[in-house]
Amino acid sequence: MTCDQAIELLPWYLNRTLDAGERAQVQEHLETCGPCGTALAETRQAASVFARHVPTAGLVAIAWGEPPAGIDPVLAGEHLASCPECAAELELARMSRRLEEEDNVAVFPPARKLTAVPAVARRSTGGWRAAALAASLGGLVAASGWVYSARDARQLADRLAAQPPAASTQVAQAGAPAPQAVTFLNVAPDQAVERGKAAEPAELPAAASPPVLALVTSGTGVYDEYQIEVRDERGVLVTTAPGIQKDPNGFYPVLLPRGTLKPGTYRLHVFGVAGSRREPLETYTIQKRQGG
Amino acid sequence: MVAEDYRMISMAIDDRDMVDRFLRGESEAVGTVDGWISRAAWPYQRRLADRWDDVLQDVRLEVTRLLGQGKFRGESSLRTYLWRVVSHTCLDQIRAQSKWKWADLETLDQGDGPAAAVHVPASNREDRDLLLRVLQRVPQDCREMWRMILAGLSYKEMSARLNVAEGTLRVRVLRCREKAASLRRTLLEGGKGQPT
Repeated sequence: MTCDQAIELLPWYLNRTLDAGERAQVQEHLETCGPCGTALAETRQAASVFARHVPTAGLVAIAWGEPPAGIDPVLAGEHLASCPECAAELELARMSRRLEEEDNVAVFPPARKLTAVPAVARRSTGGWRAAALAASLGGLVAASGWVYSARDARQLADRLAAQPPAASTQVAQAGAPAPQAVTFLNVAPDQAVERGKAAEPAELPAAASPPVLALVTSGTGVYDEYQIEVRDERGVLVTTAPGIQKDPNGFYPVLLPRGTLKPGTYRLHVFGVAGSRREPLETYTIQKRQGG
Repeated sequence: MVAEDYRMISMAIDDRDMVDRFLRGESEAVGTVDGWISRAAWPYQRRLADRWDDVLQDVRLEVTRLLGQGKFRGESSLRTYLWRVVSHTCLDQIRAQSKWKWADLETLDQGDGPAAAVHVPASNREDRDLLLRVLQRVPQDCREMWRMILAGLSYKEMSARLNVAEGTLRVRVLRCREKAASLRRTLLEGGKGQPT
């Protein structure tokens, strides 16, 4: 094996994907060739450059709307614009933050507990904060799908657009890429469909970021909390989400992560819970298409 | 003192009380913190599915360690602080599981002859920003190819995926390595991370 041949193979020698024969040849060559040993060191050095990412603490800071400590914010922004790994990790951190800001957004499947059911202190929520956060992140509100009425959709869009920007724009101003859009999907109850017509399912958008479902309700009953059961077309229970609080604006906000449901049509059954009483309320039909 | 100040002081006292009760193992406080951890960690569940239970326990240990060492100083609410600790820990875990076996490589060549004698300065001793600046100046196709290498693809797999001949690919990767080395030298000579 010549030096040129050995040097060209060094990246894969280091990532251990050479077949046994090639590997043995490279190794044998390295044992007797000083310049190629230097080339190996340079290859490692290059790998350490290509393996660079925004530090974890920086990603967390950006997700919480702060400048990333320990790294030039402009540089972090440039990197985020070109690194799919970091962008995906930042999106996870932002989703976590959303769950902190809006603790009446239910998650599917429910967050697994470490211990027996904890007594989680529930904060009172000041309205449509998830939406406000989304708007502050520069998210484009996509009230797609089947909406309760055109007027309701417009009102929701207007309300979201009116939210003031938050401190989370600091990094964007420093040169970071525009944050990923947060999708909201208004879903009307099946009961709103005219008698004799089948409920048209609300289609889940094929967005990279999971949609927040705004399950519209006109119900005026007051319950301690609400539960949602998700059932497939055959009526088989897929998952449940207890402890949901109705938004004062008349929505059950539900975060449905991408990949949770297989393609198909699902019914979301809402129950009102007051003490030991559990009453069925609205049902909603949603659809996930292949690749959505 | 305005009402807002009283509210913040009240919140701080509540948080300190919660920390004390958590560290004493009072079930309600432990339950509350565990509930926050579970919810904060939820977005990371799919990426860490294989070892999710271990990750949750690691997060809890980290939270207990930090609170026990008095790291929470009330600069944010306890809830936000814990949320960020959880995100940090989970992201670290994701990075650790997807990272190229770099640590293994560090030991791979030790004792392998002359190659082992060439010591490369560890990247953590260099200016982090410098390496990132080098990376940002390397052409995008170089980053893509090296990302594949770091992901553990063989040159045969890369050749098929990129639809280029194996020999061509190997030369291109070498040129990218040389380009990165050249940029690094330029930036180093130009001062801390400042291109000349």
